[in-house]
Amino acid sequence: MSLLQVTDLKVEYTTSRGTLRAVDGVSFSLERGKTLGIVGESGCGKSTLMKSLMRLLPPQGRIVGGQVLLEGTDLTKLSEHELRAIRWKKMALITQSAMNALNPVYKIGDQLAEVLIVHGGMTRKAAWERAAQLCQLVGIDPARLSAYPHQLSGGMRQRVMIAMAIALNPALIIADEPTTALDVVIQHRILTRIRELQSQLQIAMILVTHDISLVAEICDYAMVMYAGEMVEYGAVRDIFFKAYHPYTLGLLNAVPSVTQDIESLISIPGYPPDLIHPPAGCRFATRCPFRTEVCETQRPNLGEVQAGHRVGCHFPEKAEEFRRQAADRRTWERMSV
Amino acid sequence: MGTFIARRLLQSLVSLFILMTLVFFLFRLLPADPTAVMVDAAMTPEQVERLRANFGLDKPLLVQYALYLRNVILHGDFGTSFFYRQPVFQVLGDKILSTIILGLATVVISYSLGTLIGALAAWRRGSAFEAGSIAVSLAFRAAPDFWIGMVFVMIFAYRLGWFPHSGMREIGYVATSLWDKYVNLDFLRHLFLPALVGGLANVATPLLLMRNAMLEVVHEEFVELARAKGLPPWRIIYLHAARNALLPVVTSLAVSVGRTIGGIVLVEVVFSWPGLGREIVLAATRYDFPVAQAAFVLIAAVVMLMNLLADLLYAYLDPRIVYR
Amino acid sequence: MTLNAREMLRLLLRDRLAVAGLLVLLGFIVLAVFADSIAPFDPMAMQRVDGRIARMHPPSQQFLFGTTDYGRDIFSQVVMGSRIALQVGILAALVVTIAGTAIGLVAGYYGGLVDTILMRVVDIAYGIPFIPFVIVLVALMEPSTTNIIVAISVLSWRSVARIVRAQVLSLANRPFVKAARVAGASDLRIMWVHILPNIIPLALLEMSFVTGWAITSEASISFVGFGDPRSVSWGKTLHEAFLAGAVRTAPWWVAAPGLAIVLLVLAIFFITRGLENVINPRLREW
Repeated sequence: MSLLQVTDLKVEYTTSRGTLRAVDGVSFSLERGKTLGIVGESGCGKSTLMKSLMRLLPPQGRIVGGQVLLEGTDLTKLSEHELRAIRWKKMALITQSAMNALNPVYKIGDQLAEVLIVHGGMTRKAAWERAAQLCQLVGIDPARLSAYPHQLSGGMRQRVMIAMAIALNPALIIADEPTTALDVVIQHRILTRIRELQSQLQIAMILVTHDISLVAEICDYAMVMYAGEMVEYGAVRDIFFKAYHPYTLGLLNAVPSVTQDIESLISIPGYPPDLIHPPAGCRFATRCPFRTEVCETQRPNLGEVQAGHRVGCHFPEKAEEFRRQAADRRTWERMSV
Repeated sequence: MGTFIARRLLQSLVSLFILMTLVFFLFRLLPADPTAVMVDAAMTPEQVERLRANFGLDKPLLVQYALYLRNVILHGDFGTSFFYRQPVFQVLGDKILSTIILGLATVVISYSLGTLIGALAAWRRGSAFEAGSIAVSLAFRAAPDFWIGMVFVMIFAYRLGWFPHSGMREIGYVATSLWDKYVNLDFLRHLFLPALVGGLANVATPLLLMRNAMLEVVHEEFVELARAKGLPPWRIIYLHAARNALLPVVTSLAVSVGRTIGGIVLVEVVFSWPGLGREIVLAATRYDFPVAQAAFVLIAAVVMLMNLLADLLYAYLDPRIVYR
Repeated sequence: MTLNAREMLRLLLRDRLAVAGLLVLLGFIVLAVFADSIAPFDPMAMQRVDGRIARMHPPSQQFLFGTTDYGRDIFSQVVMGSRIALQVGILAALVVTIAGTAIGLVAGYYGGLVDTILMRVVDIAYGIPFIPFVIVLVALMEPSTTNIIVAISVLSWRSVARIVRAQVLSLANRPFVKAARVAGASDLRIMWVHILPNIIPLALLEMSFVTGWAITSEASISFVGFGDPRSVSWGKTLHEAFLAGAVRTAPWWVAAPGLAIVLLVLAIFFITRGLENVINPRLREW
């Protein structure tokens, strides 16, 4: 049995302009100790997807369909009381901005100790001792436990977040853009540390990011999301070297390369569609250089092109042709009209 | 922290000094004749002159001012009461503490009730509790402090007999020491109703501020993280959200304290609470200028003291404040 | 985001509480204007029943709110009292708003020394406890309605000035002001034509606040005995009630004028809250 199995999840938001379907039928699974990277631009629904997994949607959002099975239990059916029992113990969160995610009026030590006291039943003294151990695991000097968040650097704060996340030894950690706010050097260090801890403690992880290069660094699997849908899913090597979906190809183009000599990056022109009134056919059609009439009228189904590799496109057989053309900037520049 | 306190203290003293000057000239420059109270028709002009000279009213204004300052700062001598024929400080001395105690009690009640209810109201956004608590607090704010006092006396003192209707303690009580004077059940029974009245009259401001602050804080990431951590609701509302929402509310404390103390004047009158407020009203009615003037300055000093305390409280609550 | 007057009114009318407030306020205004006709008796005249003075009568068909210890009809007093309440409330609010806005405008626009001096004055004004000051002032001057309005106004402008100044500060650096300056417009013109219209909604909001405050203050001044001796006001009625021990013996005497104050001031609060929701869309409920 997989650790996490998401089946046909649908999430909606009520807005003043109408109902917005932010996640429209996403399915995937994750095994223990493995890492899944979810990539997509802003508004594609990846954050909503994560919030739904933890059942932390804002009041105007709700899950309207599908299942989320964590170790066999359907999270969508649990009451708030039942959820509180498993939150952080089974599933923990690392967010983007530790400056905002850490409570400014409490010491770091207290914030680390809190989950140990509340969920682990420890005394304050015991919790602080454990917190010191956790600090060492993530590379923080335990003396900093008496500091307040504003007294630490960005990298340190993020390490605190990691320490908090692993405190109860959860089965799954969701990391929502954990390094976006940090500079590149620190980014790499933090990511490496996360990866080490993860394999050491056998914790599964979902890494949400808009930066596809990070996925290449530490993930086992990758999922590409666009406009609330999953458009491609597969092992990381497959996604990077044998991508099928035009959107994935576009994303890959946007990664700067140290080895090649590129003058400027190729970007995908246009904007994602309005999810209150989504288009009839493929949602990427308006920005896809390879679109045809059928793309504009019919929604593509997710098909398995190889074992464990799924794509949502009408023309997976033309993938090689797409890959070649996508590498040429003129293919995309033609779309700017 | 030390330099911060020193700096604020200095600011307060300067303000107090300016206020004393202002009040002094206000009393001297306005039309009403200070000696009207003591002069009767039978007095001869020379007697009137001697009376005025007695109180130093015949000297030029600036000389009077200089003398006044010297007396107050060096000797704590605020002059002699026209009405009581006693040194002003003797008249007002013990009333200062009474007002401070009532003031503190009022602020404690209004802010603790206000923040607790405000936090809950925000957490239960859109509920009848939220609408109801806001409506009730606004009704109390619309009602004049003295009227709330009258109504409460009507109901709780006369109809129900739960609390005494006036005064600070039962007549005939002899206190053996300062501690004994204030720390006893009888005093607390007398303090409760006036403090409650003042507290309810002023509960709207902290309640609304706390609710608004909470509504903003509830969207902060650390509150969301607290929920993700599976913490029990009371921990999230009070330890995480409210603790941060308190900060803007406490900054308002300094401003609202002034208004509260000012309003205490009316509560003191209704409950015959022997404090500075009641005394200033009596002195104004009697044209007893030295007392009125001194009581005014003392009330302002009490306000400044409470402002200073409020600032210190804020510094304690928010570790992000760094003082130059 | 600047709204024109019609849009503001339309949004305001959508707020049910604000509409209720407006209706109540209107009711009181009508009451005040036609007080002479509506009040059944002369509020200061001693009423007689069966040849004897109608002392401390509880509410009846003849005396809707009962009578005082001197046999005066409380209902008539409440009706007539609305005049003073509205007069003081509105006039004081007008004076305060105009003065406060002018000071805030000048301080915020010119900045520098002018601003520092004016704000020091505001700080001092904030250090003065309101009710004691107002009582002392009215006691020193002759107690009259005009003097009461003056006394209330002398301090109340401080909050308007501060808030207007803050707004002006944020506006004075905006591109359209700089453009006007470059185009050679005089300071006065810039303040009047460009900045003032953007301040007016905020000033109106403050005026609304001050109105309620002024009404309660007038009641407080009259309650401690410094009201205008020639006029009838709610505070004065309560003053007499308190002195006569009505708290113990005549609850109707205490209840009626107080409820009138609460009703009027609450109505103004709701109007103010409605205005606030219109002007500060951030606080607007969905």
